[in-house]
Amino acid sequence: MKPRHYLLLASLMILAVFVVAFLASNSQNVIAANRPIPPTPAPTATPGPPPPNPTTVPLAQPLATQEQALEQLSLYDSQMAVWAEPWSKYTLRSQPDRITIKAYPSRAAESAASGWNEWFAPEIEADAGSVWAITIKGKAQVTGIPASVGEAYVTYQNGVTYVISQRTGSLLTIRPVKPEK
Amino acid sequence: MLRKTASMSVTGAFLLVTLIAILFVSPKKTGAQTGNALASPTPDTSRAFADKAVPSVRGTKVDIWTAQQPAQNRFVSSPSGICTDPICKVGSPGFVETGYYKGMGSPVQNQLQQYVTYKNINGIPEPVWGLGNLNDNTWYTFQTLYSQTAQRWEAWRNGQLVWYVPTPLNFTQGALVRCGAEGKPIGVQLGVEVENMRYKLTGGNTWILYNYTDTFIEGPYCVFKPAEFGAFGWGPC
Repeated sequence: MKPRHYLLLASLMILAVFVVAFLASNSQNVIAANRPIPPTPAPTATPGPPPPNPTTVPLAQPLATQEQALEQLSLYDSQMAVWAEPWSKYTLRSQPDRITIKAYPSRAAESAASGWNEWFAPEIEADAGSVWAITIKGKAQVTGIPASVGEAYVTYQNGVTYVISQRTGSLLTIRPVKPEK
Repeated sequence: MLRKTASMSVTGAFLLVTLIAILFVSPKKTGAQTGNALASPTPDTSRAFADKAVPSVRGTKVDIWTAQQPAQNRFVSSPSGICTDPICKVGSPGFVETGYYKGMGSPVQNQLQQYVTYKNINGIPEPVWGLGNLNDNTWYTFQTLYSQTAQRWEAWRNGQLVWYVPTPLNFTQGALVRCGAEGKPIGVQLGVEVENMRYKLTGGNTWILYNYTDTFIEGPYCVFKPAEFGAFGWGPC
């Protein structure tokens, strides 16, 4: 063998060493990558904005009972509605099928029960709090409903569901009663 | 001959009796149908609306001055919204509107609040009150919008979403934008000022400003009439 061949052989061996070293290094990385990474500790939770405060002045006493809710409602109904068959607080006992009163924890909960599933901004929900839904069956004409079709009043053929806030006593919604099937 | 005459007389008498019976029975039937204290529907005239027919409209945005509304008003509101009918009259149109509301019939005496009223086509209006207490003598930007991404009707105030109804109304666009003043009882003093009326079209995402001179004035109230509690006007006054 000529010295030139020895030189070439030595170069090839050095190259082979480098290739083996490189492959070994890569396999180490693959092993390291497959090794499970210890979980990093979760960052400290950033405190979110505080829940909004109600802005409407509440009643001296919230409407805690169905009778109180009906009495509060009569203030609005007497101003707004004309009934084909008038009702009073005694109707709740004399015609229990005509007036039903249900409590809901929020406006959204009442809306979901009615089938509309409305969403209200948090400050609006905070303002209303829990609500009463009072359904009175019968034909009624109700004024004071802003409606751009310009109706002087809206006629509800089957009855009306009023929604009022337990905290403020405010009238929040009027819904038509669906006809019985 | 006699038999023929008699036959004709009997027929004539029968027809006469039938006619009389119809005349007597019909009023009784109508009376029974309306035999309650409820009145017949009458159109409301306490309003001053600026209407603009806009095909395929899905949003309206209006600056509204709340002014100082009189305590004794039964109610005054500032509707701004969309109607599905280019002639938005009593009857079947669907609509979504928002604005401020105040009055004796309202939940909180003499406290201005944002409201929404919405209605399916052929449906019954559903008013939603108490959507935030408002100040007197303040400009607010009220907006109704059908969100094409969320597929729902929304109400906004000053750039903040305050309400939406995800259950689909049976329309996703309107044919008319409307803003103005409405009150009760008939003849009540209206004082609502609106400016910078804009709308957004289906498929578009820019607010298009329109001038009050483009509008049709609905209702008997005067336009840009100085009133005790503000001025009713709109556009670049």
